[in-house]
Amino acid sequence: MNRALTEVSLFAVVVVGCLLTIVLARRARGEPSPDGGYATGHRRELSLAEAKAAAVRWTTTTNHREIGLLYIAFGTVAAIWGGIDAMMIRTHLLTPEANLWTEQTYNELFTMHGLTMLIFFVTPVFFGIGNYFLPLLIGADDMAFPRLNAIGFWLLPPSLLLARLGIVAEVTGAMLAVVVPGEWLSVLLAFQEPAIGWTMYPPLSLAPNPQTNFLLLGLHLSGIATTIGGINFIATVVYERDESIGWANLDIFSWNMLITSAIVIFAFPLLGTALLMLLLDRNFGTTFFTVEGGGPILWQHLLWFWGHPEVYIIFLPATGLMSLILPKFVGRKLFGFKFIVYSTIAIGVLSFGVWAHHMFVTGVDPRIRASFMATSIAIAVPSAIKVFNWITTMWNGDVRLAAPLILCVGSVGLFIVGGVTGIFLAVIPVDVIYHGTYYVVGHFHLIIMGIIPFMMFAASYYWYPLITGRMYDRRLAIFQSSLLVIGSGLTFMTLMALGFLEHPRRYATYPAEYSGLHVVATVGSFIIGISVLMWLYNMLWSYFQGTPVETADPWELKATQQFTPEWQWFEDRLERKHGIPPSEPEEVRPSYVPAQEERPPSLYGRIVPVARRALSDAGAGAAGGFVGTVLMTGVLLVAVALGVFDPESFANLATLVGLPANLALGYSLFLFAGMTVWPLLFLSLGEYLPGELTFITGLWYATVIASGFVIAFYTGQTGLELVTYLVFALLAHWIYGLGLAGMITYLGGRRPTSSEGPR
Amino acid sequence: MSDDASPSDADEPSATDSTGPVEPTASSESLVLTYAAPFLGVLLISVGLPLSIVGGYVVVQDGLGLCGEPAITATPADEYDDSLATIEEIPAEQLSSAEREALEEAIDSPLQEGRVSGELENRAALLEGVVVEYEGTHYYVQITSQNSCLEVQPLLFPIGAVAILMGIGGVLTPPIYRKLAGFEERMRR
Repeated sequence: MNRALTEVSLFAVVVVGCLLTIVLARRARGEPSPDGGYATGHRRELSLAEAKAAAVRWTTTTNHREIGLLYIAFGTVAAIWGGIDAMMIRTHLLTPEANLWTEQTYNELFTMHGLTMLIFFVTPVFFGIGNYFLPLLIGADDMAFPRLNAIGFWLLPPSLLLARLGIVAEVTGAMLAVVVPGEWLSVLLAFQEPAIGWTMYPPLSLAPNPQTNFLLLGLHLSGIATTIGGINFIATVVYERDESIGWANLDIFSWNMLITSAIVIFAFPLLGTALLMLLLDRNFGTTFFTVEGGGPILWQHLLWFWGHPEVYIIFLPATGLMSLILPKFVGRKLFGFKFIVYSTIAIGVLSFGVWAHHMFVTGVDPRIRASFMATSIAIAVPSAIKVFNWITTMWNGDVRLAAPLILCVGSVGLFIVGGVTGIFLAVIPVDVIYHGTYYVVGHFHLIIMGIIPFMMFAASYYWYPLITGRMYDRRLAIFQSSLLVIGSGLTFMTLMALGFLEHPRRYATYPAEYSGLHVVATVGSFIIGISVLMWLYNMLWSYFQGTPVETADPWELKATQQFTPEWQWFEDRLERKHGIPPSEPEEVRPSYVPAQEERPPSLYGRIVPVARRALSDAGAGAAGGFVGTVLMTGVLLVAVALGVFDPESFANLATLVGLPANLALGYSLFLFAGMTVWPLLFLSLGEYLPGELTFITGLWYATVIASGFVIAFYTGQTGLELVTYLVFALLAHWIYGLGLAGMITYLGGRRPTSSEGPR
Repeated sequence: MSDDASPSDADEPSATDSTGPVEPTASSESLVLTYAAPFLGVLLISVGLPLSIVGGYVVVQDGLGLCGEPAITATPADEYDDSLATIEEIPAEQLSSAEREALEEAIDSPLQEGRVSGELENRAALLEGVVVEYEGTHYYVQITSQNSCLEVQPLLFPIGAVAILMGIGGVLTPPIYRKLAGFEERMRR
């Protein structure tokens, strides 16, 4: 299958879905309200001039909040792109052989998944959150260097495009090939997504593929952007703080962004240098990383001297968000604030001293390895301090159910598993066994998936009212958060299990005995994917349709004295914007009162209604049965087309009443029974079935009678055919039940349950 | 499910009031229909997706020529210095016509890849990697992807599709339920 077209199509589907959501939400917003009142919003057509003005505004803005939103939007796009890579990897691994995509495609997928997620998703989103909230938290007007801030962001889109030019070129080539001769397009087709692993180890990264050059340039550009951002954060925290905010009362998120930025300005220039050296090796004949020169191991040292701090660059802002958000939902102050700051500083320093634990199996000197083993185990201590403080913060707190809380608690759980498995990996003998297995994949995903996106989602929910002035759908958010925790646990714990079975990682094919666990991991990953789409839907839909917030304190932070400066800013803004609190009339009345006439009782009035009722019930039942049976027939026809349901069994039905075995006769009998026997049974037995609503009762009824159908019409199907037959029988009956109950309700037939009247 | 209440559209709870957040799920609301049914739905979609992908792929793979055509790469032997000295060499004439076409395609391709659309007579040798002399140049030729055909029951596709549809029904249960409850209430009035 063509990987590029598949990926671009999936991306397009997500984008179109988002646009559709926005259009529908906007349209629904402009419709008149059902009570006959006027629409609160007015539909506004976007004119060309307005679009132009918006484009100019968003491309030239230096406002920290707008740049923050741009960063977040960019990171989200990259996350969707990298997420589609991930889904394709998991789909590839559904079968032991490489038969959905080729080995080459698989290698391209895991290479670009890693790079896109690490470089273009996580860092930009955290920088976006930092841009939006850090100045608000420290009482600054803006970032220290607003224009530099804008430049830092605008370097990112071209860098992503350069890094992923392979797909863009391939899809462009494929489209142009329709109208242009193929040989003219060989240049475009030469750009193939690199399949060298995200670590870009030589000699693989020295292999001839022009796209690798563009990838390296793209990464270099993103490194420059990140360094610019890091410098800006440091300058902002150091020089732009409000007078009232000193180092002692600087909030925990700003502390984390400060230390993250410090790591950035030490780590990223090194990556840039190493990338340039690799580019020189590739294009100008230098030998930094070739066997004749510095050797491939030199690259590993340089890469991991950036690469391990990079892990903390993307991890520390997440812990900052956790330390900021968690206390708000447990009604307690963050336990051990100082120690969390110290642990963050300790991680920042130690992160540069652990790089060689990625190289335990490369044959570096055993004494050096041992020292790196010690530092790698030591870095677990500050991380454990954080976990201890988070748990203690929750201890005895007034825990309130909300999506951010579910994400925080889920994160702590997954982080503990990910962290403990990491300590084992820090031990050389264990690492030697597990290094090349799925154990490592499970371990690092439990950490980088288990806490980083979780905290991004938590932040998006926590600050959603502040950013949009509306509340998101909280039921959906709770569901989505729980789903994310379940999906992540299922996927990455399964990968751990595969690792324990010593299943080697990075292979496109694998022995068939691992297939079952791979299917489980794939199902888990699809659960994650669905939950991400739900989040996206919630964010977009609620922006237009969410309930407007009526207070600047939607989380009751004032009650626990945690009303932090950004919410204070929000309160001031609401007051400036609206000024007067909304008033309410003293009395309200419904806009429409249905007429309720009482019928005078009479002889005629006593007899006729009973007869009318009986006729009406039978009529409604027959109509419902007819609709249900016709709908059911549609489902059964699909089953016939698939060969899992034999229409002959209908013909045999006729013989039960002494008629010849004929399909038309059998079906007529089936339809007749569907309109008489089963609706009447439903009307008489319905009240003994569960469900307040007729629809629910109808579903239960259909489920019960499906068992009889399954036995009566079984024609010897086995294996998958039997499963499909059972599924279709159940589905057909559910549709029958819904049709029957819906029609009866619509026609006003007698409710099968005993309760009468509106509830 | 018998304890299900019927919250209608009209009494959709407000997210916040002047004192702070309102509980997202009203106490009268069924937890089964608000959370358990959609979860079952997501599970069905997540199981249905792999089933329908694998089942669907097996249906289209022959029609679209997605399997059974191995890909080979042809790299000029001089890129390997002397390391190909011990590799078996076969003359270009020994290649089948399909193999030769694939070799020519690979030589012309910027990616050095070609597809063998036909008889693969030298499968064993090409899997190991061989040196082929073609028009005076030596190439190291090897199968890079076997493109083996997927073998599963096509029936997985409809099963997966039905699972996805049922799953979507499950995910949409909370709003559908609220709509149906509203409909039934209106009908009763």
